[in-house]
Amino acid sequence: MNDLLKVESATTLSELEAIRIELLGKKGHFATQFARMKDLDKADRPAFAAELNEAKAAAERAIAAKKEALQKAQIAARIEAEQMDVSLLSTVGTSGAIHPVNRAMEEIVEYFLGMNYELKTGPLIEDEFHNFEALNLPAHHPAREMQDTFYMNDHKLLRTHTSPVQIRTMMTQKPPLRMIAPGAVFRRDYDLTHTPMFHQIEGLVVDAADRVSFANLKHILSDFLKAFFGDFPVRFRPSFFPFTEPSAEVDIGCIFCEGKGCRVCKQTGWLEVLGCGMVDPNVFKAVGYENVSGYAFGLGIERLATLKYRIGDLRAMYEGDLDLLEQFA
Amino acid sequence: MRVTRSWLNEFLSLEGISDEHLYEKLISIGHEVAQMEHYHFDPLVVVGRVVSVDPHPDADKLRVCQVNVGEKLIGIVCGAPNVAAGQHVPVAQVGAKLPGGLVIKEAELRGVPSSGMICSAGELGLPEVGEGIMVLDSTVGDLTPGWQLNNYPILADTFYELELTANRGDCLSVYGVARDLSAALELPLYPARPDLYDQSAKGIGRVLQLISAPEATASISIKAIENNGFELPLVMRLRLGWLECAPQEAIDALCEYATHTTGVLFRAYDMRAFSTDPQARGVVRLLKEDTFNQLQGCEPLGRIGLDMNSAYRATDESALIVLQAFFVDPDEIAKAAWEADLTGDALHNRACKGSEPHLDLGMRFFYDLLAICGKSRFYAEALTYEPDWPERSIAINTDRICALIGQEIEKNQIVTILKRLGAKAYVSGDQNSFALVPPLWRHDLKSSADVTEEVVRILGIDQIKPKPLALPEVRGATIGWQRFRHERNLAYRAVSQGYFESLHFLFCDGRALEQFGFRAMEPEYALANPITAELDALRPTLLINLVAAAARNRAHGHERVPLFEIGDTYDWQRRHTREIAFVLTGASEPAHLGNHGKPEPLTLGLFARQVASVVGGFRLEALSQPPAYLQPGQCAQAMQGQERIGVLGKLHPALAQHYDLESGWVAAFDLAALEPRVPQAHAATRLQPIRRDISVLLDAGCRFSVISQAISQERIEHLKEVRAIDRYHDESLGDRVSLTLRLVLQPQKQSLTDEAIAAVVERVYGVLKNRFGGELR
Repeated sequence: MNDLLKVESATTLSELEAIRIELLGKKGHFATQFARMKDLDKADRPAFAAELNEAKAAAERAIAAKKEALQKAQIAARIEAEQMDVSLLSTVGTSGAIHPVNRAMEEIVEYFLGMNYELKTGPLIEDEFHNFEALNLPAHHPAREMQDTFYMNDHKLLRTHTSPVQIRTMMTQKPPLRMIAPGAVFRRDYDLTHTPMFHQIEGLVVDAADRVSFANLKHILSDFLKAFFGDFPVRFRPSFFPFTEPSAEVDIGCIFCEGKGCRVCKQTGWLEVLGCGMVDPNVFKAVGYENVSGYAFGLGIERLATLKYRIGDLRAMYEGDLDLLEQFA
Repeated sequence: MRVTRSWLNEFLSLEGISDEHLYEKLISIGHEVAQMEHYHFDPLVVVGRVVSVDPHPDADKLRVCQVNVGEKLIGIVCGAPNVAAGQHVPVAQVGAKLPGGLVIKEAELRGVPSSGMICSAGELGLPEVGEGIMVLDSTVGDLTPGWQLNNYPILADTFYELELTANRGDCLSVYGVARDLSAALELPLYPARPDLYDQSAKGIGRVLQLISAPEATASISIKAIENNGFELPLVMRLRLGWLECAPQEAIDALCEYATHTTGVLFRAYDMRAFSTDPQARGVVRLLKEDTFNQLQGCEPLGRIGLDMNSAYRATDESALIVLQAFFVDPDEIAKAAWEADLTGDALHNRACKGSEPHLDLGMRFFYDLLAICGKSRFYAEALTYEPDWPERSIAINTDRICALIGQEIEKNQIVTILKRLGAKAYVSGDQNSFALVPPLWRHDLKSSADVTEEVVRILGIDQIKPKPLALPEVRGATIGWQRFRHERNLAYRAVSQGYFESLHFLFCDGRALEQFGFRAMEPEYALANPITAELDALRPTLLINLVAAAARNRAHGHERVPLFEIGDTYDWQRRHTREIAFVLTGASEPAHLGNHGKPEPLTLGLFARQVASVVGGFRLEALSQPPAYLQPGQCAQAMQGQERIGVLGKLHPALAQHYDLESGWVAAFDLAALEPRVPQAHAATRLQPIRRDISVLLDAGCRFSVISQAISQERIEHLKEVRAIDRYHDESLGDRVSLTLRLVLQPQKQSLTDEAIAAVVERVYGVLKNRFGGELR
């Protein structure tokens, strides 16, 4: 019984280990007791052994139980000791952020890549042929007034749209063709709603004559707008671009007022988001394509990004403004 | 383009069509409505007749008026100088609420009671039509005292501002819009009224004769006006107010109004242009010179559709005004002006967009207008010239139209739509083909595609059902996509290092180029027409705009500004590079619990590690000629193999001071050099690498990159890597430093004996000793 009391008295695992060795070790209490057995009468030995075995087993049980209890207590003590105010450790503000324009651009590119479009790029510094002439905008065309162009002294220009990438692609690749071209474009315009540089994504699909239709164009753009903005109504309006015919502009039901009319949609209930149309035959002629049909569209990325992320000030987008960018972390 | 409902109603009946229906219809046929506004007045605003006007007993500027408002006479004290007995005026009676929010109450002005207000146009929310109160005239309708102003459609009108597309010059007039609506709404235009010219007037032949060259390609119509003064009626002043158009001269206002209404272009000349002798008959010559149609009187008077000799412009003082209506082919005049490098006047711009070819329509309108504008009168008849405008024919196949639209449409329906638009269809043998001749006013219709657009417009774009396109499989993930993905991957890595992606204009401030040490672009390649002085150059580096952005953010109170950008740059010869660049001002990391709110200041080493986490590992080598924007001795070129992939370092203190930054760190890398390569693996050994550190005393000026290169040139077997892990100096070492190198040995086939390891260490030490005078510590 004394043995058990001794085990119970241990307060640490090392104390308990010392007691265990004292009782159960090679030269311990029980070993000594068993050694005494040879001095006993043979008749007495079984009873002695049985009693001793029982006592030893009891000691072992007690030690194991005590060990478990002490281990638990030790873990509990450690847990208690390591308690802390985890709320001090907020990681907010440790990550940077992708720029909203690029965030939107990636999303748009991924949609069209998923639709099997090829991604193309082209130079920012263009010539009049690729930027205007080949796109059915001859020099005397009044629609050239629509574009305020940055020129270089050697008559090169900063592309006013991503459409020249269409021309470059068609001049080097045979149909069928399915491509998008994201990138920066430039117009001489700088006010609350215009910046001299902004971003577009151009889309172009060309296949054999009579294969590609306006109905196809309606399908892809309606689906894209659903994927990008969610379930808002989509409206096509006839419009005019020199490089497409028929042409249309596409509106979505205002995402701010859900069509009721507000400041953003100028009380119309609709937001204009992109322009599109069937490629004008003169454009195909300029690149030497014959017996083909196709559609093209152009998305203004800033427009889509400001709407989707509800950014109020367009110009803040180009000032590396952390107050804006931190909201995209 | 601005129109109003009552104005459109002059050409077709919109009865039964609501404002909203009209709005939807205009949009659906491609005329975006930027603004629609319905003018509505309080029912207590009525027509009043001023019966008497007496001076106010106690105020010089006020008058006491008795006004008949139907069933009663009311007394109103009025301050307007233009009030007079006999006038019909809008009267806001007691209780009426005006658009500005003013509610009319019984009042007393300097002791005289006033029971209402005689209103100006502005007070009623209408455009201003002149000083003082708005005097009503018969052009707004029958004026009956007591009738609500709402009963007059010209006042209670609906205003539409249309955003016309560049091809639709034919809709730059109220008549043009009405004509397009008549096709879309299937409503007939009012027929032109019979000729009611005053036959008793003197014939124009008495004052003018026209001599025209047969090769002329302009339509003209000339009439003479005997000027006895003009008084502009209210309807015209009101509508010109809507157009925000207020010419000084009444004759200009008349021309402007007639053009806006009918689309016919007018120029008004003084008779002196054609005859120096007031008694003699003048001569108008129409010539064809150098592709232009020239008008000539006593001297050249201008090229038709381009300009006019302004010395002979008619004024309100001209006794005899020669009014010229004209039409030229819009494409031809635009091309001729461009080829001759000529800039025309405002009417030239209109002529290029397309004007109304039916000059008679405009002249009749002008005639009617003059009848309500005072005592000036037209001479009878007109002098006209019209060339044989060729019929442009477009071959149409309805199968192609249907294929382009993607939907079956009956041939009859297509033909009907085109006829409604004024085109002629000549059906031939082939049942799906016909020749289409568009009307003269639709110069924009040139191809089958243009005609298809008309079908879509009038049929209704909503009638076309979306349909997915079947296309053969093509590989979308080509090189363009791989590059895009790679750039975006770099961006996300930078974000995970706490950097914010920033975008800046391709332009920068040319003055910053020199500060940063970049050559200005050769004039030949430079921007010809920058938008502002601050954005007058193409950026040769992303860093100029990034550093400016960092400075702005600091000024706005951000302690730490980590920014990066991926973008295009152009050097002095306009060679293009796409770069990724970083700027960091402030501490190495944000303040947090772990660094006890005192984050380490940034060092080149820490900055290099952050940048390397994005672009991949690189060696740093000293720059023999650091660029001006970097601080010498705190900057490096980043090397991979023998290739320089970028530069990084501390912003030059002078530049930091200029931008009001304590310090800044910048890096710029060439994206082309960062493109992922296909890794080539070799068999890995299971044998563990062995590391040995050695410390050597070396001259302080000894560069690690040189040492490292010297060791690597020895090609010591088993030596895989030499890394600098410590550099130590104290006074006892004098001008020497202690450099600790970690040698990593990689056994290939069998583990290395202690002797073999010692041999490697010995060879490294040998290099250090013999080449650099190093001694073991």
